[in-house]
Amino acid sequence: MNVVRRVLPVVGLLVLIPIVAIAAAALSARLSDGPSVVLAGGPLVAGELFTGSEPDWAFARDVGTIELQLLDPPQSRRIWIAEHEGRAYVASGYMGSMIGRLWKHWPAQAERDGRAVIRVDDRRYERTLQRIKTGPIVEGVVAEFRRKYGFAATPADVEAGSVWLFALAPRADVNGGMR
Amino acid sequence: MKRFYFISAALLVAVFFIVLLVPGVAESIEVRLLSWLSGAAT
Repeated sequence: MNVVRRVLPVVGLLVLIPIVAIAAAALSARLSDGPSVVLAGGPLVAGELFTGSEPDWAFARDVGTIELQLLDPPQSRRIWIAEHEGRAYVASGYMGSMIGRLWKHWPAQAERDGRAVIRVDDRRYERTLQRIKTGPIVEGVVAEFRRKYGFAATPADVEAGSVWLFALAPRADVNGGMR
Repeated sequence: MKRFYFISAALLVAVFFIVLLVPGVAESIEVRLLSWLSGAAT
């Protein structure tokens, strides 16, 4: 009994050290300009803000990942991007699983308020995330995710809600213009 | 025993601030976390 009483606090300390270290790393990432590879980051600050007419997103075919920040809450994460017919899309998998519900909050947050900023190659774009569940576009976008990343999703997964698909639409500003 | 808890608390606070403030430590932890996650995923 005495041995247990002596060992238990040491074991507790050994468990707490990595937990505290990961919590501190997460806080460090949260205070940074943009996300790291795994951990969510703070608002996207650096980089020229794109203005002008809607670009052809075909260049995103060669982009591995982008940084995506919602305005509410102002947190950013690294995410895959797919281009289809000149428009850009992002997706979130595991949405039908317990892991997805615990791990991924941004898709639900984006559905509530889709205003976002993305950063691609050090340039920021103001966007609105619009969820897509059905339609002829889904098959093409899913196929592009499969080609680019080997993401084994189907249009049926999108319709069933186990994969959430968002279009990165231009954001309408207060004057009614698009940016 | 009281001393052990005091040292443990000081150690945890030190770990927290070292990770937060020393450049490269948070990134190193993230790399370990990533390799652990990818190992667990396969």
